[in-house]
Amino acid sequence: MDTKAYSLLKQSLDRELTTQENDELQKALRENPELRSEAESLQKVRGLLLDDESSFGSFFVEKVMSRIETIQESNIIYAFKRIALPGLIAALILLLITILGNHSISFDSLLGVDTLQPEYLTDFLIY
Amino acid sequence: MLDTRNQEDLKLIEKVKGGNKAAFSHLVRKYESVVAATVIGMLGHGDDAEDVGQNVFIRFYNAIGDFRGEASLSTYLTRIAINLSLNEIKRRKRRNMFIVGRRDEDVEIDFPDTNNEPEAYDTKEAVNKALQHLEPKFRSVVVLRMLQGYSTAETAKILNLPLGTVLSRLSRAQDKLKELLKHLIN
Repeated sequence: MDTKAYSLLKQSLDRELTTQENDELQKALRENPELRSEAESLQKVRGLLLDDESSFGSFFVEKVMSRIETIQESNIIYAFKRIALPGLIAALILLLITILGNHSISFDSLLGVDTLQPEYLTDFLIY
Repeated sequence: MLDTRNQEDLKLIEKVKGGNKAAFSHLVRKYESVVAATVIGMLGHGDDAEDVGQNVFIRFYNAIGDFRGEASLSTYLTRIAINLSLNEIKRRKRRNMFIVGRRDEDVEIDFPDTNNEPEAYDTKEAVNKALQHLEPKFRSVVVLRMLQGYSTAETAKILNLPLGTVLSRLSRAQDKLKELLKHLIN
């Protein structure tokens, strides 16, 4: 078979041929029955592939949404472990230090206000 | 028409960004077939393909803030689907090498003799098997160009390849497919 014409035939399916290339291909198609048969075969291959509709199994959307929910929940747990838990432990340590140091768990003692002298109140507020 | 579709998608994406999960499930339903065609074309039917399909949407959900709408959502999802499918093919190859010390290309695909009962053979299955017989680099261009109907320029852009490479891969893949599917086209 004319390899150049066959190459042009394949290319014609994927790109626009120049006028000269197109004329050459049309001439070859008119003169060569084997090439015409190849053109038919290539079109059939394309047709088979285009007809090949695919789909996933049942409940695909539900499965995706369920996995997203699971990932989000585990992200929340991860964030809690990374941020909230150390924060909670730090707060507990602070509370313990306050109880041991001031023998009190009041908000004032946490801020150190209960031991504050009235004459230093302005300095405290500005600070 | 395409613009209307894109506008609809952008509206849905904005809703998803605002925490509307129903909008996201609508997008999954809308693009399931696009992702399925790409992933099943690349990997064949099976649980692996469905897992990869789910991962495509999960990756999209996690990166939805980065979606600017420069490409259509269909193209964006197809790009993710191709990348994740190629990763899965590499993973399979590693697993096969590790477990039985064989290469994927060594695996024989059984094409039944259809001379006696051609109608009994499922065309869809034959097409899928033929696709799986192609090397991944050829398969990806076939899936995008011939299954999804992207232009060669779009295919080149999605795969980040020069146009000439796409055209030559298509040409070689086409010859191989013609050979593999000859019992269906003659």
